[in-house]
Amino acid sequence: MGNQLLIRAYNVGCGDCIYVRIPGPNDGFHILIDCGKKGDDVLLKKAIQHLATELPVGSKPAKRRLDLIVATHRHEDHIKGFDPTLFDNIEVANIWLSAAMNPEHPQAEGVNTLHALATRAMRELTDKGQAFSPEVEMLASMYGVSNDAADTLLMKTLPEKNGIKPKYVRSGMKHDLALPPDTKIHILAPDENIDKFYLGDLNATLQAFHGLTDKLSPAAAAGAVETDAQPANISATDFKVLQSRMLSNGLAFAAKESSIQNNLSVVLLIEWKGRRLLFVGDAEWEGEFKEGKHNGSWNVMWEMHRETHLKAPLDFLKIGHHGSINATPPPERPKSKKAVEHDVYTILDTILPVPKDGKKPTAQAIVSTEREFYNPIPECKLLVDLARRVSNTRDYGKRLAAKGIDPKTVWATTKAKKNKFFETYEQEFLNQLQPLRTDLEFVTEERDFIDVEISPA
Amino acid sequence: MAKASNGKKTKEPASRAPNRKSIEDVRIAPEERLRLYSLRRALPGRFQQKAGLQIPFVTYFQDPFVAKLDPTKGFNEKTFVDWEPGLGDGPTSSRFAVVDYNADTGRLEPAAVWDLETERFLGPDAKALESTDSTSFQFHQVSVWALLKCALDFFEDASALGRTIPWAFEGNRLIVVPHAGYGENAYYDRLSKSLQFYYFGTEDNTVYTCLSSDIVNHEFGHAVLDGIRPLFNESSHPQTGAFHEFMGDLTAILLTLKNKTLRQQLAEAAGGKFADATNLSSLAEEFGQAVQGRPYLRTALNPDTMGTLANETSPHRLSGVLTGAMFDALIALGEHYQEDGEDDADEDSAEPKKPPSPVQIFWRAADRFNRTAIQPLDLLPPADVTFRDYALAVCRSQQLSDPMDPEEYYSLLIKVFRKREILTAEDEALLNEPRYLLERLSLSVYHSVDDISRSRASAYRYLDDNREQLLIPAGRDFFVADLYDAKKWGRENLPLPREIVLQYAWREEIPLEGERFGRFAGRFTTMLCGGTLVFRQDGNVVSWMMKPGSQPFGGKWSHKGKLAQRWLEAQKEGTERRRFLLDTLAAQIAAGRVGALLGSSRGVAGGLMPPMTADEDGAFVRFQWSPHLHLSEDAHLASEEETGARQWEISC
Repeated sequence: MGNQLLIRAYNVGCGDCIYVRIPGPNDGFHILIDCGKKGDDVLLKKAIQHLATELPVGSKPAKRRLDLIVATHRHEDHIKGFDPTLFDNIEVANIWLSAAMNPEHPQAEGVNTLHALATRAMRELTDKGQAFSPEVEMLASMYGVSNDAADTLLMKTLPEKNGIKPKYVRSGMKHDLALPPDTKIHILAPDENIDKFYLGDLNATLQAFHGLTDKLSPAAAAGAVETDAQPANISATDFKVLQSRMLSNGLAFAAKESSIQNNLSVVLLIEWKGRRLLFVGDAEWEGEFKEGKHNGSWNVMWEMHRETHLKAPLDFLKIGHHGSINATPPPERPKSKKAVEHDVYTILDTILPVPKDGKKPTAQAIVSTEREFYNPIPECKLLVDLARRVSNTRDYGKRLAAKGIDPKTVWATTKAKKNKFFETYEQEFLNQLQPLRTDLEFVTEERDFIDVEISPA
Repeated sequence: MAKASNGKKTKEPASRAPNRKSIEDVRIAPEERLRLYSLRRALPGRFQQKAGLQIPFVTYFQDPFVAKLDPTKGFNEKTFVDWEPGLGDGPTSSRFAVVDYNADTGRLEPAAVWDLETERFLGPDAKALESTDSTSFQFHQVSVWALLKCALDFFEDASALGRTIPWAFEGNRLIVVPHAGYGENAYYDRLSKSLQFYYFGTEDNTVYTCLSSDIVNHEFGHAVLDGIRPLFNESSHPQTGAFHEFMGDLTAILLTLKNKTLRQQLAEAAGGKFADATNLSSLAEEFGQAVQGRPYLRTALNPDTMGTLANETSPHRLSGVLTGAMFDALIALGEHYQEDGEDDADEDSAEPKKPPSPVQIFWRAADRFNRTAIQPLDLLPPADVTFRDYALAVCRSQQLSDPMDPEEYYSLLIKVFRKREILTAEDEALLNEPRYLLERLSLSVYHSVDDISRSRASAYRYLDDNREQLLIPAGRDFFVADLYDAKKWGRENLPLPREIVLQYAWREEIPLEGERFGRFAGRFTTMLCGGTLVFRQDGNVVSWMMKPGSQPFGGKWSHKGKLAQRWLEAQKEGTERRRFLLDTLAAQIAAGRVGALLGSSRGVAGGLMPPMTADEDGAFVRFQWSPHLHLSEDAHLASEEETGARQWEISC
């Protein structure tokens, strides 16, 4: 193990499976942050099998010890792999879940209502065999019955199997983890006031929608959308087309809820021997912090922690949401925007500044990603900017060429070809430095994971 | 004062026939009524009302719950709507079908029932719907239907377009959904042939957009423009998208200005203030106060020019320049009336003339302004309209309807458009160059206007025989986009010569080459080219506005002299159009504004509707504007800068 802290991002495609090993007595402290992916779970199984070989022995020789599981939020690309059968030989000491997943959290009533509404709406569409556009299909997959199963696994099955209860964590919460010396884990998000900060005015909208729907049709408000009658003054075909072109609040809520769930991610700051490591799940930013409105997680964190935990630069960043443009604070202010003190455009330069005076960056970052399920992810322009701020970068164009790999063949699925992934999203940036990416490290180095080793300050 | 030939009058001079006897107690049998119905356009309005050819309805000016002024003034008493023999439940009439379906609940509300006996719409309790039934959904159904019928009548009136106007879709009934679901939204959608109105607020304080006349009229403006210029929908030119917004705002403003309740309120508000004042532009401010919080009506009051918004691509923001210009024109017209001292005293009256008040002048200018703003629409090219095109059409229309122009409205209009930088100094110089009202269009083959107007096929033969002169490439097939005639009025409701409007178009294939077109690279799109020719019944061409292509004539013979020069200029313009289209498209694609619609057979995610969608058919891609949805100012101003992501892409 040595005296270095290890961060390992397993290649699980479009998902996160991040192992953190903090050196110390008793074989150190072992954390797994998320275990999920879109699509099949082959890579997840492989990752957990490998992880088990890295863990210290547990209470019995056949068992391995995992000190802490953190499931940042309830999306399948973060929790799908928490299947007890995969963890059969792993003893889990602690499970942390986002406070938003606690059905009894007093300040999360609105968010829970929204989740229920969105789930009901999407399930109804799926159950009735309705036709979807591909994007809606992806959205619907997040509300499948399997997601309920994943929730249950995390909230009930896995804890019970390990004789523990899940802890629903929120910003500022104290914990009693037996951490190695010189180690602290701070929870920066979600804030306790979930409805207030992340739902904001949407809560009123939700209540108004629910109230008005209930007034017009109590059955519909309870989830039973009435059977379609046929208007007498237009044809059945015209009516079907009309229905397909009307605004679906169910879809709108589901899409909004999906973003809100990202913003309810558990965000951890691990401080170890003078080093600062930030794991942000899928936290997003959205404009500026607005009191009374719905906010992105980065906005709330910056509002709450910029004088404390986010005051100083980081040594490591787990790039958010698989490299999505809205999961890392913007690198520069648009010309049209007037500078405001402590605005969102100051975050990145505070926590990951571009070194001045020709110095080289010392911070590191990784992105766990795959461009298959959601075209704009990862946003390469963002990755290129981040490469100016971190030291562990790669020129993937050169690396692919050195390996004799035609870049076009990297993105060669039917969907990738049809949507021209390479030409549209990758080509322009391929010969520029980017932080280490799990997808391209797998292609170029045949690595099933990326390791980042952090030395004490 | 001339009487309107469609029966609508603004004033009844009592002294026209002082020695004539009234005919009382006339009974009209059903078949006689049908006969009268066929002649209705020649009958006076009051007679139509007495004969049951027009029926009174009550419509809202504004939703009572948002009325800043006294809600009891929110009704527009006695709106008269044309009776039709085929009126049905819904309401359903020849051009509209109300379908009260709610996408949130899946519920179909009972339709208002048309009772043949009483000739009133009835609610579910079989009682006639009254203005006191404001909470009744059946009342809403009738109210929005009546509003739309009046709005359609406004456009088809001879003071406007002077003809029956079509919709852009296959079919003739626009579906109206008054309570479509929860949302601060309303929109026109061609694909579903519908106008959809949503509601928001709380259970105790619900705002129904179907009851706000400005919202209804704005969305209807989109439907009208789509009907008379359906190819505008395919243009990626920011000004064409903005023109659609302008049309919606213009419709809302013009119809609001006809509202008697608003006029009364403004008169009361302005009365004391304008006792001595002569500043008509202050009335504009009063208007703005009265429509506080109504985004469609507020857009008129802005100082924007094409220069200040040079790089703007948001259709909504850009449209303000043109809406503002036309509102300036309205105020300028009113001020001109005032300077001129015109009054509307009955020439047969013995009473001494007194100068009209500023408010009266303003309303007269507003009534005249309808013609100035709406009639030029027929002159517009079939595709890719710009603000300049409209400005030129407004000026030309003014010339045609009033060639002598003693009041110098032509110069007034040019000045307005110059101030907003919609017309350049060169345009102004060209427009002010002395020229004849009519110039002969030099053609190869003569076709009589009767032959041209007979059918699209015969119009095509005329165009085909004269391709060279009309700048249509020889090897290019083209289509007649529309052919119709119109009977309009000029000043004082004097009939203008019958107009025949012929629109033709073709598509020029354009390859999308280069990475800047993202996933569309290697495919083709099309640039619409074509023109609008307007003839008078005497065969003279009074207007020709065209959008040239970039291809040469390519025919067997070469043209010389002025024609050769015209071809060169047309190609140059066409090449520039092509370049602009590609650059604009690339910018839209790069900014992620072209996306897929998130939808299912049970609806679309409104907030996730990208500005443009791409309809892919093999190697060809046709880009189209999505239905716009916005009511709140926040929605207007939201941008990628606020989120770092495209708000119409889901985050998962």
